[in-house]
Amino acid sequence: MRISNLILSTTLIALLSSLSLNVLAADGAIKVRSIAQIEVEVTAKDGSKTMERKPVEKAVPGTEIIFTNSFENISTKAASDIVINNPIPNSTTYKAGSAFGQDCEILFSADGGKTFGVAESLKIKASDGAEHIALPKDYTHIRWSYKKQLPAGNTGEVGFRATIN
Amino acid sequence: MKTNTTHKPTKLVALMAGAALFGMVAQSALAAPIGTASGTVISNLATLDYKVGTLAQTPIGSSAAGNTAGAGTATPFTVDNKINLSVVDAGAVTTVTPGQNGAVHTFTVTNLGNTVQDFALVAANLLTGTVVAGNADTFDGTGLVAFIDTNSNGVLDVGEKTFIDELPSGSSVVVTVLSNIPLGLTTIDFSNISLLATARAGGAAGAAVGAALVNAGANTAGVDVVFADTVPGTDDIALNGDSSARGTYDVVTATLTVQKTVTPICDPADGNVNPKNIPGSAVRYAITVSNSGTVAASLTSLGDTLDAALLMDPKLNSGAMPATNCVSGNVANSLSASGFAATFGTGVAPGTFVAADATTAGASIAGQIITITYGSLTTANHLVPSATLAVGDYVTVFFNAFVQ
Repeated sequence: MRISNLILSTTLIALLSSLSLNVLAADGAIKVRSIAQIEVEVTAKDGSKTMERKPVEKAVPGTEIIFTNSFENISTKAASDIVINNPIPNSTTYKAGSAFGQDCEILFSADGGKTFGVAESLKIKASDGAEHIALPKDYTHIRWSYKKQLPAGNTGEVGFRATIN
Repeated sequence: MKTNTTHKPTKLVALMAGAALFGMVAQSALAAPIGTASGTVISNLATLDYKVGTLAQTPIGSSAAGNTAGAGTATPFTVDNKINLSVVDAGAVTTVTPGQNGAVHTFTVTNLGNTVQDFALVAANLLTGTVVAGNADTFDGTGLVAFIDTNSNGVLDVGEKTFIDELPSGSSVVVTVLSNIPLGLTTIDFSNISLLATARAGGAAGAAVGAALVNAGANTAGVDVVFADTVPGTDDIALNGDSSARGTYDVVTATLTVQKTVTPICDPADGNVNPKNIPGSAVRYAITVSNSGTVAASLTSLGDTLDAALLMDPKLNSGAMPATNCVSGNVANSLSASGFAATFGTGVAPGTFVAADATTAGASIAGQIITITYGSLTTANHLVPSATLAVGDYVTVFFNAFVQ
């Protein structure tokens, strides 16, 4: 799992500020960060090519964006039943099979977040009223349900890819 | 929404353009934009629900830097200006005749980017020998100019623009190229040209093309220009903000053949049985003009001066027996009151005619000079005279002459 320097540094500050005894106080318990990146091919001196993630630049129709949501328990108590809900951003189309998240059940919605299901089970109603299997382009939301507890100080990361329409 | 780049019929398009707010040019096909418009801000916001122990906690929204409370802040980025276009030749070669001025060839330029753009246009002659669709270039036209022929009259009128002004994303416009064709060319001659369209800054209609575009270096928070023309045209390189296509002018000319045959008809001794060319005998002349070229010809007139030893037969003697009828002006054997007959048709001239082919106008003799005026050549079989000789067609004019 990737942890950026930014997260580490901000974590230290957050840890310091969260040394209160207010156990039930939700605020300040988990830090949620969302970033948008692109992947570019980088050629090393030896000619080998690797994919490297960079901040979004030159975003034009067709560009694939990697949206990553990281969450970190900055409290002293374990968190549980973590559910992350992410609407597919405007003007983008979800890339099939791209949602990722360790120890997560990943469900999708094709009806604006009213109902969620596994990708294969989603249906949408066409304008003629007939039901069709929802295609990735029909997805409106992604929901990750973290199946474990997140102990104090631990982090998790979920995300997906979408293409600019 | 489905992207629709289909061309509309020209007439319909002209109506649409007239109603458009852009004051868009005619001959353009307005279509749905391609892709998310530049300047659009795409935002992402994730919301996290959780429990501590058994107690549900207040959801936390995400932010770019990391958020620990509240609804969070969307992580945004701005969609940049994608530059992409296509230039497509109209497909058919433009047929031209030697000496033709302002010969029209057309291309279609389509804005495949996500932003309204201007496009600079450059029409150029290709090098001699350059082959386009099997046709090798043999000559250059002169005065090449590319423009938007708003009124579709094939002429660069005052007010018509030599660049594409404000072409919306996904829309197409027809670009007209004019070329002056030199004289002295034949049907084997071709002139191949290219049209290069280069994206320029859009945003404001005007009398001049928009500013040149530069592919962005480092990303900025605003709208950056991104050259995305990944498929190069015929005469440009990829990812350079331009595209091109080639077209052909094909020279067509009429190739006329004039053939004059002479056949003995009768002589005063043998009639029409093995007639000989003795004094007092009649011969028949057939003058055939045929067009083996690739374009119709407009025939004017043909003059033929009879030898002084010949006398034209004013009645076009059939040569029928008795032999005593083999004299000039014989009415009994007359096939034509004018002395002439003419046949028209396609392919090889048969060399024969019938009574209904007798001419009523268009052929005459003055002194020894026979004049055929094709534009008025009329017979009972050919009531509507025409100077036009179509490709593959012939016209034959018959008359008799007596040997003095």
